[in-house]
Amino acid sequence: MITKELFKGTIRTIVLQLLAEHRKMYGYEIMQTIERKSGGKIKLTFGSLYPILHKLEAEGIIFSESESIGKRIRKYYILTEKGIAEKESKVSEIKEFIYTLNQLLDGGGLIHV
Amino acid sequence: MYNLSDSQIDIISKKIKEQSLKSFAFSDELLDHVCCRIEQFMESGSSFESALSKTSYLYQRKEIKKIKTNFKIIFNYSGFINSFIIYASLLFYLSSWVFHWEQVDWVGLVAYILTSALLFRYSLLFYSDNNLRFKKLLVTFSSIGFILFFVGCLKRFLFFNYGYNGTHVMPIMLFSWLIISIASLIYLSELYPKKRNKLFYLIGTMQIALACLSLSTFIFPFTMHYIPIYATIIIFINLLSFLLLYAIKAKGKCFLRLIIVCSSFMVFIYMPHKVIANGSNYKVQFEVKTKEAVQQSKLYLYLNYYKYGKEALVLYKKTDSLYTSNTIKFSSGNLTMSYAVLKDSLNLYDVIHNSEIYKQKLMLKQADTVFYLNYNPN
Repeated sequence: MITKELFKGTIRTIVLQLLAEHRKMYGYEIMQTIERKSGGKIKLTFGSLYPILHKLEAEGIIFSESESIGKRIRKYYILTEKGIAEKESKVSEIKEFIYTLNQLLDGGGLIHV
Repeated sequence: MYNLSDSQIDIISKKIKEQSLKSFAFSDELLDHVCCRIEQFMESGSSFESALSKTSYLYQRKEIKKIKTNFKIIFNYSGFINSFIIYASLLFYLSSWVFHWEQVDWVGLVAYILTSALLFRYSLLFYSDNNLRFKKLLVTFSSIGFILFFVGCLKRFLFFNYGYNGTHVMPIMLFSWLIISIASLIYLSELYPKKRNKLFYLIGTMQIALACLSLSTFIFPFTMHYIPIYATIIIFINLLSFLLLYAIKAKGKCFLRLIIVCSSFMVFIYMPHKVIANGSNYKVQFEVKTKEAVQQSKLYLYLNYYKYGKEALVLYKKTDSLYTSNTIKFSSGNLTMSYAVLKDSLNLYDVIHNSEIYKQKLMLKQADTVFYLNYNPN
C-alpha cells in the first residue's frame, strides 16, 4: 500500500492518463481501474477523486456527459483538447521526476563532495 | 453484471437524503458510486441488504461533510467569497472617499457593513470548525472584534447623519483592530502549527503593533502631535502588506487582508481632521467684520473642510463690528473650505445639516494669513 502523501500530487495525471486510454470513464470506473492497475497499492476514496474531477472540469481540461441508467444518473468524463495537451506535459513531467528519483535513490545521481 | 432495480435505487437514494440535509454538487455521482459498489458486492454473492449496510459508510453525514469540505478546499469557494467582499467594500469605501457624499454617506456605510459582515463570517467559521485547538479563544476574539467594529461604524454613521451620541467611536474601533489582530495570530498558529509562515506572522504582529500605536494617542495626549506621522506609517505598511499578500499562495491571507482593510478604514476616519487641526506649518486667523453693530460677545465660525471634516471656531468681540478667532494651525496648504458665520453655537449634527455652511467658499493658499470675512446679522 502506498501512502496517500506519496501519490497525492499525481492523482490528476493518473486520471488524465486513464481518460486518454479509455476515451470516457465514470468516477467509480476510474477508482476501480487505478486500484486494479496498481495491484491494490493505490486506493482512492470518493472524497479524494470527485473534487479533482470537478476541478478538472471547471478548468476545461475534461468535460462530462450524463447518462441515465434506470433511476440513476452516471457522469462520464472525457478529455478536451486542452486536456490532451495537459496530459502529455504532466505525464512527461512525472516520468522525468521518477527518473530523477531513481537516480537519487539508487545512488547514481548523488553528487559526493 | 448485476443491475439494481429502480426500487432498490430508490431505497439507496432515500438513505443518502436522510444523511444530508442540503443538496450538494456531487449527489448524483454519490448515488451512482454507492450503487456501483453495492452491485459489486452483490456480484460476489452478498444480498442487497448486506451490501447496503457494507456501503453505508460512504454516505454517512460525517463523510458527506468531509467531502464537502474537500470540495471547498479544492475549489476555494470560501476564499473567493471573502476576497469578493473585501474588494467590494474597498470599492464602496473609495467611492465614498473620492466623492465624499458626506450628508448621508450610505455608500461608506455599505463598505463598513461588508467588512463587518466578513468579520462576522469569520466568527461563524471559527465557531463551526471543531478541529481548531484554540476554538474558544478564536471565537471570543473574533466576535468581540466584530461587535466593536460594527458598533463603532454604526455609531459614527448615526452621529454624522442623525445626531446620535458619537462618543468613543475611535477608541472602540481601534480596540476592535487590536482584538482582531490578536485573533489573526491565533488563527495563523492554527493553520501553521509546525512550520511558521514568517511573512504571515510578521504582518499579523505588525497589525498588533500599529493598533497599539493608534490606541496610544488616546492614552498619552502628547502622542496626538504625531498622528499624521503614525497615519502615514500605517498606510504605507498596510499598502506594502496588502501587496506582499499577493505573492503568497497559502490559506489565511484573506483574514489578514480583511484586518488591513479594516485598519485602513479606521486610519482614514481618524487621520484627516487631525492632520489639519494638529499641523504647524500654516497659521491662520479669521477676522469677521459685521455690517452693523452686534450685541453678542461671541460669534461662531463653522469651517467645512469637505472630506477632511468640519470645525467650529469661536470668534471673540474686539469692537462693535469686529470679531476675531484665535490663531489655528494647519499642516497643509491649498485647502478648499466653505464656511458660515452664525450667532448660535451648534452641535456637529446641526452643523452638518445647516445649508449655510456650504454657501461661501475660501481657500487656504499660504501661511500666516488673516482671512477677512463678512457677517450680516440679518
